[in-house]
Amino acid sequence: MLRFATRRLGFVVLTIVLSSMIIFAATQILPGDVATMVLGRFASEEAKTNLRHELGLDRPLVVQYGSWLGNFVQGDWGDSISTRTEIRPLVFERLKNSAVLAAVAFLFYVPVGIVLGLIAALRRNSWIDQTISVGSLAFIGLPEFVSAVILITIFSIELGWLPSQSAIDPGTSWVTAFPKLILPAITVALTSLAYIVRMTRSSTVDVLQTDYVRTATLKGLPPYRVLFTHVLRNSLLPTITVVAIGVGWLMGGLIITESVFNYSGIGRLLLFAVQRRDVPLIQATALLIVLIYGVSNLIADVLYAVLNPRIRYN
Amino acid sequence: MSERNVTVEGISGDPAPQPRGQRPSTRRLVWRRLVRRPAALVGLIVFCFFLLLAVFGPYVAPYDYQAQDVKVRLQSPTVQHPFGTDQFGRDILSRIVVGSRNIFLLGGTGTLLAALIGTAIGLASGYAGGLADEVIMRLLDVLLSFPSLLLALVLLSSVGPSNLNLVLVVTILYVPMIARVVRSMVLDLKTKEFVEAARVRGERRSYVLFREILPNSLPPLLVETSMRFSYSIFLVASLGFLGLGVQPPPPTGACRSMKPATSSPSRPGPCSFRPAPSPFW
Repeated sequence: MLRFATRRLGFVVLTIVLSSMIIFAATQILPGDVATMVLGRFASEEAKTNLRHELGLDRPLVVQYGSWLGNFVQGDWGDSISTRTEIRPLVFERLKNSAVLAAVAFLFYVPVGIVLGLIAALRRNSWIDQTISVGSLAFIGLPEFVSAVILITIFSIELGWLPSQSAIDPGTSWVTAFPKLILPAITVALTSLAYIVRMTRSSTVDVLQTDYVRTATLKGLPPYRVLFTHVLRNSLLPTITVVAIGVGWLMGGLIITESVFNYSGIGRLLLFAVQRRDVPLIQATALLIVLIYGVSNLIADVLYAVLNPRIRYN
Repeated sequence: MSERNVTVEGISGDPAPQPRGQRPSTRRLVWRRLVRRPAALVGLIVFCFFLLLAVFGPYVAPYDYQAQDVKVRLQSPTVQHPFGTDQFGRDILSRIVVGSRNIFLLGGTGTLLAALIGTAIGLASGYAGGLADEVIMRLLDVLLSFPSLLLALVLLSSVGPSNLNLVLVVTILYVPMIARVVRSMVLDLKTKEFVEAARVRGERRSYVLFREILPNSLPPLLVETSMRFSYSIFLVASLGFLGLGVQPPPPTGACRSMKPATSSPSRPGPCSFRPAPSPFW
């Protein structure tokens, strides 16, 4: 088990290092001159050279990459070009906001998804199952910016129950800010919800058809015991993987959802950095997201192996 | 039930084969299956509808997609403008119809390129095996370790949004996924007797790859490619929404869905995002 985990960890570390190279290469080597960006097109050549020197852009790329990664690991993420402030506190502030949003979404879609998936599986081919399956399929095909706009139209404009903009002032407590979190959280949750429902349904349907479940039913166990001790323990395994991988999905969904709702999370920060071509900020944010994504995949793998001894391959 | 029987016969091959004329043709089979599964039929019809709309869009659109009429700006749906009008009084229906063309074209080209390159990489990597295979697959895994929208944003941030770059981004994102599918098929087929037979009878490598392995890996490849195509439309629309998709002159469908949020005149909204001033754009 330990060997499996270390092996996976090794792969994740390697992947993240390679990803950092891609991020660095994509943002640093490709066209566009930061000095011209910052100082404007009419700045003197001397000023540009000075700025490049100050930012370390005149060094060889390998050296630049090495010092960038080294500084990142040591916690020195540099200054943002567009806001002229230190990047790390900015990114962590935004990450905290995103984490809260993701947590609210998570607490909503995981239980609801599992329950809906189970109902669909237990009432297979009935109209309930049809409704749940078709409904979840429809949500998979619905981009966040569409579902967000629909939700805003219904709950903010027509009913007036919830705010349509979720800009949260720093310092407000999460309790007072909670109503602002509901619509973005639902938007983020909808796509992931559909995946959980489908995964739970299909794996439960498989487990329900196994011999040991039939034996359990035939030997007279009450249905709830069959469900909890025989079915769920096996059928929720794939769902766990989907939940952990869902963190990556959340990250993608957050970029769009946060910009619709004006929510100051890490996704909108990344978009802001991209629009301003703020290279250090793009690099730090992107690498952090890749890091989170990689770690959540690692957790998914290890968790899966812990819960399912049959999978401990080497 | 009968549909299943036909398939089984087709695969196992009857000991006394029926005369050719009596066996249902592939086209018939496909048609019969479609009719039995209403969901698939509905999907096909919807897809064809949008495909036709994309192809003939400019001819069926009721208005010119860039014609502005300030008198009717920001209208709710009316008979003249079934989907209403935007802040410049342009007909939204026409803009969606014309814009769907871009999305189809960009997503489609990107996916097609990804399918070609991905298949080539998957075939080569899977067939070569060993260290080369390991290295190639690990590198592709790195691309897969990015959430796709993140990678798209990072790439577009440096090269700038243009149609060509959008296509390339879609390609880069989907090559690893398609390569993986093809590779896994190759690994499986490589050990099959008919491939071994071809090798033993001295066929050239290209023959084994393209005449024996490739045709047999087509079904999963086609499924993956069509899935990717639908996701690519998603991706291009999302990027369009973020202001990094198709740039202002021609419209994309995605921008239009922002109507409620952009209608406040004080806030321009993401659709009016112009690339930051840079000598390269």
